[in-house]
Amino acid sequence: MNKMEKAVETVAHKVSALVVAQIDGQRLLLPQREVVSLESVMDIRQEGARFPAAGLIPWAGQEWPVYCLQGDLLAVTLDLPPQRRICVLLHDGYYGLAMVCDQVEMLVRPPRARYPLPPCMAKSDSLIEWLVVHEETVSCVTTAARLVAYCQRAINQEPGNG
Amino acid sequence: MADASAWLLLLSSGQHVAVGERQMVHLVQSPKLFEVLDAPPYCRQVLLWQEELVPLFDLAAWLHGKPAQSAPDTVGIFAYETANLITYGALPLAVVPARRPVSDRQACRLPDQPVGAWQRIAFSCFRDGEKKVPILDLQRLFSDTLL
Repeated sequence: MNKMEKAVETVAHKVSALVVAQIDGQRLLLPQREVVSLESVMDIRQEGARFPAAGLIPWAGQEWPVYCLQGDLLAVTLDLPPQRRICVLLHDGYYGLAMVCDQVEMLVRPPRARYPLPPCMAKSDSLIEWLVVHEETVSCVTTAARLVAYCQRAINQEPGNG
Repeated sequence: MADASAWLLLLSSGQHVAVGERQMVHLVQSPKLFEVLDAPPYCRQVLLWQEELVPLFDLAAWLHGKPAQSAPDTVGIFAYETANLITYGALPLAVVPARRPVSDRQACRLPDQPVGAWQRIAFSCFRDGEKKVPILDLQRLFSDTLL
């Protein structure tokens, strides 16, 4: 394996289509293959939801936990700010969840390359799966599984949970 | 530590550190940096350099438990070997590095403060005038062992 092969996948077809979720000015990219539906936040109900879920949304005969991230650090919150207008439903075949976003759009051009997180940044339960280079910008890609782990981590960070 | 040549690096905290002569490969002034979400506070940015994605590790921030500075003027890019592959990492620098000859006669103990920190990231240490200068283990610094 040479130096370039180890970290970079520059062939366009290896970088799957991505969806851009905007949250409080942060761009979080999601694999399009995991996006199963876009729903209105009007359909979310907050009764019966348990932290870290901020609410529940019915879809395809099931109640999906809705997660809300907030601010520069994308902290998990129970509040649903008014700018969150779209609920993205994600499923990877195992994990299913919904995340509220301010805006959602397709990434029109495929990224030029994708990279794994550098080891010194790669916490085992990191929110980020990959970094991609797109139009001279580096963006963060997450997945349904990463989002679930990230939101569950918030439980341990709650006061009283050590 | 036999007779050798090293690059002397000044961190924003005023601490000097050193790397091997061949390990510093490039200096970038006013680098374009990209934030990585959910990254450690001392290492939350990357830069693109020659098709490599290079993590920027703010060593002064790690040593003193502070968040990384967001827009360093000068960044050094350093090469190190992992499993027979050349890998790159970056450190913010306060000034342009200087090259120094180093010999065994300059060897000294690692700084005591912060307690236990230098033992985790440095091979050894030498004295440059009054200064204690730890020699960085870049492979360890940029690995996942500090997470």
